Amino acid sequence: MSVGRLLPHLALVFALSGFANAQFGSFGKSKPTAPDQAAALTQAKNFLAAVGENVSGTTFVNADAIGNSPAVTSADGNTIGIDFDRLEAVVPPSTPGAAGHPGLLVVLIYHELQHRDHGWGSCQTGTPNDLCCEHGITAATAQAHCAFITFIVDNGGGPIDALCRMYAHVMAKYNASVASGATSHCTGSGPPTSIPPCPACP
Amino acid sequence: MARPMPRYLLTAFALLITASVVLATVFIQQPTPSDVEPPRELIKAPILGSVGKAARSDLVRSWYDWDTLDKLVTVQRRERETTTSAWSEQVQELTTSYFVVDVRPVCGPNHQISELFVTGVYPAGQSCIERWVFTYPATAIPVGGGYVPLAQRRFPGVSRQEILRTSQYGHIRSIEPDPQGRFVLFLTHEQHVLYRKPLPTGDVVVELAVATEPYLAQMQQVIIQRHVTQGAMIHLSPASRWHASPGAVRDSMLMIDSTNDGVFETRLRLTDAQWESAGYQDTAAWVNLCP
Repeated sequence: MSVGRLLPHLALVFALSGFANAQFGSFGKSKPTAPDQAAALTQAKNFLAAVGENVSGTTFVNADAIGNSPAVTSADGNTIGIDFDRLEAVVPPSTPGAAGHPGLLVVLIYHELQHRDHGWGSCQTGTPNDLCCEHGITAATAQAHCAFITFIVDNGGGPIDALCRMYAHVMAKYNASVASGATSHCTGSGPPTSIPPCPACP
Repeated sequence: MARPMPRYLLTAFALLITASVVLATVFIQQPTPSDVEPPRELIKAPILGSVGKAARSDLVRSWYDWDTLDKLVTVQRRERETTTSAWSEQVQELTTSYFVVDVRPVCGPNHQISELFVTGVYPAGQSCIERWVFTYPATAIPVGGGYVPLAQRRFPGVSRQEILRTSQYGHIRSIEPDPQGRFVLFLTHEQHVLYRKPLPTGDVVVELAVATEPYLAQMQQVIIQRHVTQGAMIHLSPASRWHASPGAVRDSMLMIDSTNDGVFETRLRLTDAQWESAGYQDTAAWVNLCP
């Protein structure tokens, strides 16, 4: 995510339009998308497109995901399902800046796009590298996440409470996981040993 | 003037030091029992927001989570007095003496997690299943009345019962309790067998073996669902419990108990297209077992 390219798009507000629920097959059950969720998805998708991520042709749905996944990518990479109920565990709707979750969705979808574009070549499901891959993508996404928050702060943007709470959640999970030895399973050069605090967060 | 040390003594000292270093190195590198972690595929990764969601209403919500290597299960609860009030939160952390591999809830009538079924593996290699029963304190109305926010209440009590502890089945990958409490299912990691353990007591029996259904070897998690018209179903999914993973294997399996008598008489393997044409992707087709 190129921070410098975010500026022209910070204040973009996109109208809710054309959001249909796609079928989600056995990976989960699609749920009706509430208007604020659909609006947030539209904003997140358009924002990511504006900063150079390839989201054209990707359908976004509100998924009641099987298992504990907060987001799921279909095998063909063309559908990303978001489980809003799980996002709420990390950031309750009453948290400033969390309404509709647009900023959170930017981060979550960015993570899924890394899986689609970079993740599956070297780390396939069911292989030992899968866990290593998840750590690598989590760390890379955290870097973009902090850059996103920093950019908002530097440009007098909106509330960052939700984004910072989400960042703290990821940082705590990742660092605890690495500290307890999870990445010792990685072969070759593993992911970073820790995710640092984001200076833009209080 | 001191006499020089005899050569044989020097040699002996050198040998002693060398042996000590070698022994110390071997000792340090020798894994202790606590180093024997579960297979890496069973270690939960730090997925963003990867939590199990359980009870959910306008006023009460709860989630559960676990950390494999930290041997920790977390129950997160939120509650508010009215739909316009602020949420109050309570996070209950429960440690184990085994590596936690999977956790599944049973929900009570009051939008609460009433039980958790926890599976894992002890450092010495024995797999286990425990049943944790929560006892919630009465919603205290203090003298003078008034609502007590959740954060100011004590944690629910937890009673832990060991259901299984054995090396007989290898590692357990996934568990699922019957919502009516009649049994708990568990899917093994190495042998790819789906077992049923009757509750509260009874011998473990094979529910489905890979010899009968070779596709079972591709399944990673087991879920019990209830269709609004077709009865109870065991849903076996190729997706990881904590991260759905795109890949070549996509078909799911369903085992159907149309009369909900505990006997799953029909077994189906469904592609995504078949899943959709059967209407299973529709949330309204399923009973919410954790209201």
